[in-house]
Order: sequence, then C-alpha cells, then structure tokens
Amino acid sequence: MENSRKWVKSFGGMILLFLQCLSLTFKGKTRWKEVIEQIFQVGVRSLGMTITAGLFVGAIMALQIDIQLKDFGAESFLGGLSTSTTLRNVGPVLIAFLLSGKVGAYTSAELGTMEVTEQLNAIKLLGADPIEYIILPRIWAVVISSFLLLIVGLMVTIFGGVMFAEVIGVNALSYVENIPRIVTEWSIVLSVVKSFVFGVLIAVISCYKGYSARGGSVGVGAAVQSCAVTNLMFIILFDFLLSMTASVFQDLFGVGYL
Amino acid sequence: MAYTDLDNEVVKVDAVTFDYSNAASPVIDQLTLALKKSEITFLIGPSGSGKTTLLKLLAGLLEPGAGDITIQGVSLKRANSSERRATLRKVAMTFQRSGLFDSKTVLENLIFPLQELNRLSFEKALAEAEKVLDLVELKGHESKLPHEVSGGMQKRVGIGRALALSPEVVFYDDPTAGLDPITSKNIIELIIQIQKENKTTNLISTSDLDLAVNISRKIASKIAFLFEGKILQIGTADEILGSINPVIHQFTRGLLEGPLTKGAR
Repeated sequence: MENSRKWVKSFGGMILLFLQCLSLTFKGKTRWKEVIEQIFQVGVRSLGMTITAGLFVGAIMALQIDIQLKDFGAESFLGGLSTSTTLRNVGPVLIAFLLSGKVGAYTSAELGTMEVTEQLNAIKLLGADPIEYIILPRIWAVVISSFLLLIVGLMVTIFGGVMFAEVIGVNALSYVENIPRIVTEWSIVLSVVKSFVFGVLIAVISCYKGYSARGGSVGVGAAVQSCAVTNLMFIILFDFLLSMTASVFQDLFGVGYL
Repeated sequence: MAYTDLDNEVVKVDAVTFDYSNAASPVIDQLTLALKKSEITFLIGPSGSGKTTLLKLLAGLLEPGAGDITIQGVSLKRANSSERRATLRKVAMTFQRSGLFDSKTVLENLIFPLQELNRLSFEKALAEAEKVLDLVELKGHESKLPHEVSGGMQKRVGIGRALALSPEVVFYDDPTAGLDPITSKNIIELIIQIQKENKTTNLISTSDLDLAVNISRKIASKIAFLFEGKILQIGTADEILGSINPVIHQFTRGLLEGPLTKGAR
C-alpha cells in the first residue's frame, strides 16, 4: 500500500514537473545559453558511446536475422528486415536504455547532489525558482541531446548492419537495395516519434528523481537507482504503447507497412 | 522578559508547529520567539533539536503546520504571494554546508543573485560582487571553484552571497560547523562586523556553546536554548550557564548523565 502511494505520488510529480516546464517554456522562460552548455555536458560527451553501441546493435540485428532467414532461404530480405526491426523497435529502445544510463544517471545524480547540498534551497532563498533556473534548461538539454543521439544512433545501427552483412557473406549493395522494399517512410516516422518520446521520458524522469532526492548521499544513491529503474520501465511501456498505436493506425488508415 | 518592545520585533514566531511526514513527533512544537531589530541572537541546542528546521521555517523554505511567522509586520501565513515574496526578499540565510553552486566560481556565486535577481547589468553586478569579495576578505580567490577553497572560505562565500542582496534579516545555520576554533572565531567576528555596518537582525544557530557564550558576553546578545522543538530558555550567556533546567544544565556542563542522554546508551 505504501509503495503504491509512493508510486502514485512520484508519477503525479513527474506529470506536474513536465506541465510546469511546458508552461515556463511557453512563457519564454527557457535560458537557452544554459541549455547549450548542458547539451555539451550531457549530449556531446555521450556521442562516442552512442556510435559504438549503434554499430554493434546493427551488427547483432543483421547476424540474428540472417540466422533465421537462412532456414527459409530468404537471405535476400536481410537488409529490409534487419533495418526495419532496428528502426521500429530494437534501435530506439536499446539506445534509449544506454542514454538513460549515461544521461539520466548523470542528471539525476547532479540534481540530487544539488538538492542535498542545499544549492536548490539557496536558489529558492534568493527569490528564484529552481525549476526555471536549474530544471528547465536540463529538461530541454536532455530532450534535445537524447533525441539527436537517438537519431545518430539509429543511422549508425543501419551502417553497422551494412558493414556486418559483408562479414557474414551478404553483399552490402544488395543489403542496401533491399532496405526500401520493406522499410517505408512510416517506419522512419515511428522511429523519430519514439526517439522524441524516449528523450522526453529520460529528461522528465531523471530531473524529477534528482529534484526529489532527500537524505544525503543515501538519498542521492536511491534517486539514481530509482531513476534507472523508472526510465527502463517507462521506455518499455511507451515502446509497447507506440507500437500498438502504430499498428492501429496501420489497420485503420492503411498507412503502409510500419 | 527581554522582548516587550513590540515595535522593535522584526521577526516574530507565534506558536509554530512543524513536522516532517515521517516523524513520530513534531520537530518544532508550539514554538514562540521574537527577534529585535539590529540584534544578534544565538540559537543553541543539541543535534536534532530542530535548529535548522526553525531557520528554514523563518526563511520561508518550509511551511509551518500551525502557528504563524511575522517578518517586519507581515504575516507569512496571511500575506498574498507578492507580499510574501517581497518580505522574504529582505531575508537571507546561510547553510550549514554553504549551499554554494559548485559549478560556478566564487565570483560567479556572488554575481548570480545580483545579475539574475536584482537584474543588474554584468558590469554593475561585477562591481557589487567585488565589494562583497572585499567585505568577506576573499580577494584573490574569485576564480576558484567552491571545492578548491577551504571550508572557512566556503562559509565566507556563503555569507557574501547571502549579503549580496542587502538583506535586513539574516539567519546563519551553524556557520562554524566543521571549522577549527580560530577560523570559527574569524567567521563570527565577520558576522558581527557585518551586523555593525549593515544593522541587520541576525539569528545564529550553533552547537558550539563556548563560542556562543564568549561572543554573547562580548556583544551583550541573547542566547535561546532549543530542545525538542521548543525554546526552553532565552537570556544572557550567564543566565543560560546558570540555568536550573536539567536539559540546559546537562548541555552547558557537558555531563554524560541526564535527560539529554536518557535512553541513548
């Protein structure tokens, strides 16, 4: 019962923080200079990790799908199927997991430390709003960084698949030529929408968990742990919801293969 | 009774009660206190007696569960949000752990409130911040980050930042915590010097009885003794030292046996 109460409070708090940040943004309160500094802190420094992970995700997908296609003698579909699966599901989810570990943990730990060392109270005391001064720039920085990193990551996964196709004996050119046979513009739209939603989730969850940390270093540790678990849960949940929505759209409006 | 001059009472705490959601008993329990204009009052008490919570309530960082706090005649409970904000702008507080922005340099920590909240141009904010740097004797350390300066210097930066907006009431939360006796004395001397120059009303919480007693005797200020969220006694240093209250007696004598350590061993 106590856990349910905490969960509801936490979920409500995340929604309120998100709405408050949206309202401040519409009022033109975003400090874009700070956003750019934060993008460098959380985004640019995650680029290497995203590219490395993306290459391997693409390679793994190509390898796994090739094994299954061989049973049916359908290796010529490797490029399309591998890229489609990567774009629609595996790529956004895996890269979002990585970013929630790197960007999310960094942000929640930083904000948690600011809370327990009274830095956020100092801002309140100076008559300022910590959400406007500290949280809002970080929310936007994490949303923008995560979205851009996910897009870069997805492009790299496709490249990783192409590269690995050669290793397993599939001609890279035929791999690439097969991609448009299965992947449509809707696969790309779904992938971009998922990347944006995952970016928003990582930003709001990480900022909320850090901002609500209490009780010294133990509290910061608990906030980072809770941030990691909540991020993973919500990424999976929203991946399912978005995939379902896409499937419904496909059935209702015949928008092509998603 | 010391505080009879009502017009002179800058801060008035009236039967304030506060508890954290998970606490078994209130941290602040029906507490009543008044601070007179341009005076320094020390707040002493054992760890966990509610000193930091009381200061946070006074600074508007926490909301009382019951009772009211009046600052310069404005009730924080009844004031509308703009009145409340205007009143709290006259109040500053320093934190036990300084609360400095650790990604900003010493100078940037001082510039922040001036530029962002007083809306001064960078040049004006810089000039004001340099005056504060002089006041807290930190010239030469302006480009260092908080973790690159000593604990005593961090306290000075915290005091400087609190004073940058020219407050009329300042609450110091254990400004000498974790400092050696000489640095502690320097910090308190700095606070007294600033009080003399700016005529601020101050409440200084501390667990350092000797320091509170020595300074209190020197500047003829009062000491309030806080225990379990209540003010047990308020008076001069000698009145506190001579108190017959068993809790104060044990605390001032440093006795191992008594109500403070009951059930602790």
